[in-house]
Amino acid sequence: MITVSNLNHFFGQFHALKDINFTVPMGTIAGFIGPNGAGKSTTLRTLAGILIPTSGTVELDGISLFTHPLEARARMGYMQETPILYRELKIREYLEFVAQIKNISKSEYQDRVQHIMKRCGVAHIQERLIGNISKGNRQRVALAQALIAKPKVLLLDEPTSAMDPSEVIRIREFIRELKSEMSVLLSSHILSEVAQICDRIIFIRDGEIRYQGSIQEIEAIIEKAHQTVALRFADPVEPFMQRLQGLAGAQILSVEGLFVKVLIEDDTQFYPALYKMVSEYGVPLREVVAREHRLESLFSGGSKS
Amino acid sequence: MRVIWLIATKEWKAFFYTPFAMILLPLFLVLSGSYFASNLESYMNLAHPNESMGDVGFAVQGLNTMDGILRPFFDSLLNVFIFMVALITMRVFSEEKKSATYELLVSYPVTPGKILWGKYLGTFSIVLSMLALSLVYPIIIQMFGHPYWPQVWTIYLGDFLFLMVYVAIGVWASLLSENQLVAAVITYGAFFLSFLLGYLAHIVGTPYDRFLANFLLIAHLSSFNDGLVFWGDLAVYTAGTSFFLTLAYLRLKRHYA
Repeated sequence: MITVSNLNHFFGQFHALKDINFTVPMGTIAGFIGPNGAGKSTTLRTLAGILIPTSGTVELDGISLFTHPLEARARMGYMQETPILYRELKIREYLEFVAQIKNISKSEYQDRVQHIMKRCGVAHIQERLIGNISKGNRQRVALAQALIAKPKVLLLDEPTSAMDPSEVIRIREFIRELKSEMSVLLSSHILSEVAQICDRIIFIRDGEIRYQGSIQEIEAIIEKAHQTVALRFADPVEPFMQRLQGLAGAQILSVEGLFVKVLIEDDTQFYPALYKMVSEYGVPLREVVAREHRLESLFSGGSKS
Repeated sequence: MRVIWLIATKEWKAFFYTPFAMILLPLFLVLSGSYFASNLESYMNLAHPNESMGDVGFAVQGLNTMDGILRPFFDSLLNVFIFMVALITMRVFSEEKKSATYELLVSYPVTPGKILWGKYLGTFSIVLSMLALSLVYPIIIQMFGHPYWPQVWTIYLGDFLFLMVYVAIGVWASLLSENQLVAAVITYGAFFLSFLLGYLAHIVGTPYDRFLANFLLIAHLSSFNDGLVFWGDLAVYTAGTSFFLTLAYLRLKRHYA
């Protein structure tokens, strides 16, 4: 279980994390999404014990990261966004180093290293120097080091960004298999990845959690977003605003200059009514724009929950 | 202890697997070898002036290989170490910080003290291996003369203690910046600050001169070079090492709340 309460972090005057609160229960994969610079990596680095926040608390598997730093770290595996590992070590040497650092017993660590290398698909290249392997393979080694001590909390920062498509599918399946044993917080900007493997979504923007909920809830929001269009007119809309408000099967959400944002409740009623209004009353409609459905735009004005 | 050993051996491997070691070690051998050759040549000229020196040639009576070759050689060798240690220590934390492997290291369940000791001992052992290479020069002298080995060992003890402090300064400096060059400059700067404080001792006079003189790290080597060991010198080097390692520890501890 990951419990984050009232987390704030300042970089000088810049308020990077603003009152972050969320929990990731055991057996859950939470997708941590948001645009670049939103605070995803800062949050993950704080949870990994790399950054000390200005205020707030973090509990990993029920242990406070700040009052019991070693015990909490022992329960956590962290994979960085850019997997930069010790280039001068062989894959096997590096994982043996991490296994021992993480207090896996002498009798056990070699078997554990061999097992995790097989699971992460790097066993066949275990004697190669990390400096000489591809970025995708380095990501697999980074995942292996995060998992080697069987953590209760797994923090993954963009875990498949450099892998080829077949590997991505395999690693996603692997992460899903792992979830029964741990809480996983996975940062990503790939919506399809998040939708496929996550049970929950936490959306962050400008250092604030804008939305969090189950994958079913977000699907409903996406569905609603698909029903939203913008109407662009040639002239200001005020003279025919009354007609617009009377359009069947739709609800006016906002008016911004020449644009009117509309939520379509019933398209079988809305479009005929719109065409009729244009042809019969000469309303100067120029374009019907389907809204861009990027995640960040979905939640930019979303409510916190 | 196991974790300290692991980090120290990784540090050792990391150094010797890199091209950096392939440049630094031969450079050390070339510089130390040339200092040795030049001291040997000076000794030969003074102790056994050749005929080309004509009337002005004279033999310095009582000049032995210890005072004629090895002592001046070890004085020169220290300059090589002052140059080399800053280059070796600058990468200890700076490189890890820059490459982000430092972040992974502090995310592991290891105390900052163990990380520091592992890094320090690993780096110190690299420097000591270079010091050990210099043993070849007294051995060469042994083949042709009679170096006074007890004095050779006290010189080595002095160098060991001096390097112990200097490596601690370098490790602390490497924690201050991601830029290796900045870390090296801070290490050199700390060394020259010790020179300045020692120089200040001559200016301020009593009662502060004795206190300030302690900061001139290199001055405490003179008794070791004479074959003498004083507790005071041992204490200065031990205190200096503890001071800089404590500063480094406090810096590292910031990740652990």
